[in-house]
Amino acid sequence: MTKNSSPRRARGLRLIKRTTQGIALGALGLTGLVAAEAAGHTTAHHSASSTPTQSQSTTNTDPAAASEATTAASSLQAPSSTPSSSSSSSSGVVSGGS
Amino acid sequence: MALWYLTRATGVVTLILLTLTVALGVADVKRLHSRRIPRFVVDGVHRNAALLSVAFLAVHVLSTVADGYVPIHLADAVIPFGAAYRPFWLGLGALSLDMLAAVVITSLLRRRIGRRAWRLIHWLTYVSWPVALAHSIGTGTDAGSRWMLIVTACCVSTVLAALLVRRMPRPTAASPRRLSAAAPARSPRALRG
Repeated sequence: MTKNSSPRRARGLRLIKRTTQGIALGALGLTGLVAAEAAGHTTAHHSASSTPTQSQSTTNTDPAAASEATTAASSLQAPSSTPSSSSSSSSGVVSGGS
Repeated sequence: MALWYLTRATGVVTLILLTLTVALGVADVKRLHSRRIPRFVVDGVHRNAALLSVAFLAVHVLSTVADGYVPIHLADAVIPFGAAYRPFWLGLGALSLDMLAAVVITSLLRRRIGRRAWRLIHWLTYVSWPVALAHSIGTGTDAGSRWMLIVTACCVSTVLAALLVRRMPRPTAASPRRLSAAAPARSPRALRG
């Protein structure tokens, strides 16, 4: 009987295979878990280390800056003489101000 | 954004897999095995864990480059300290990757390059791992989060424990004599593994 065909070796090879599969599955599961955890939080990387070349999407903007912009838009809209005619905020601001 | 999440996740998992690989490597060197888990199983799992960590490392690098938000090119992943974005911390990652690549390639070519050269290059693992850890702490987005601190602490304590075991005298120090008494035909080279 050769070394490769011994039952002990065959059992060992099965053990290597099973353990490797377990590690691989664990690693994949952990990858999904960490990715989900990262997605659950605000993307600190994209807001903190912002590069000027790429614009951020509306969902990833700084909440403080977003609320500030909303306040500014509403304060500009307030003196509008034609409140019923404004369909969008940006057009309303321009037409109301002028 | 999905690529960025993938980058972060694969980075963490690669660190864990590298830690496991180092621990298994030490167990292999110290011949820590049992009747149910023979040494060649420890060796095989060590090798597969190393290859798995290389696969995750490849995904980590490729997803970082493909994400495109920060200016990191493929060359920056291989050439240390040349990146425009966080050159030092990214350089550590590149350095670790280069050392790991050397270890893996020489392991695959072990029969061709000889045991002595393979062993010398394999010592790079003990440099590559802390460099990878420094890279993860220095540039990892999640480095400050509580769960990542726990992961880092577990990895560090695992490798420290492995190093302590590595420094301990071999538990089978008397076994060559015992084995040679039982099987005198076996050569010392075979016993050395």
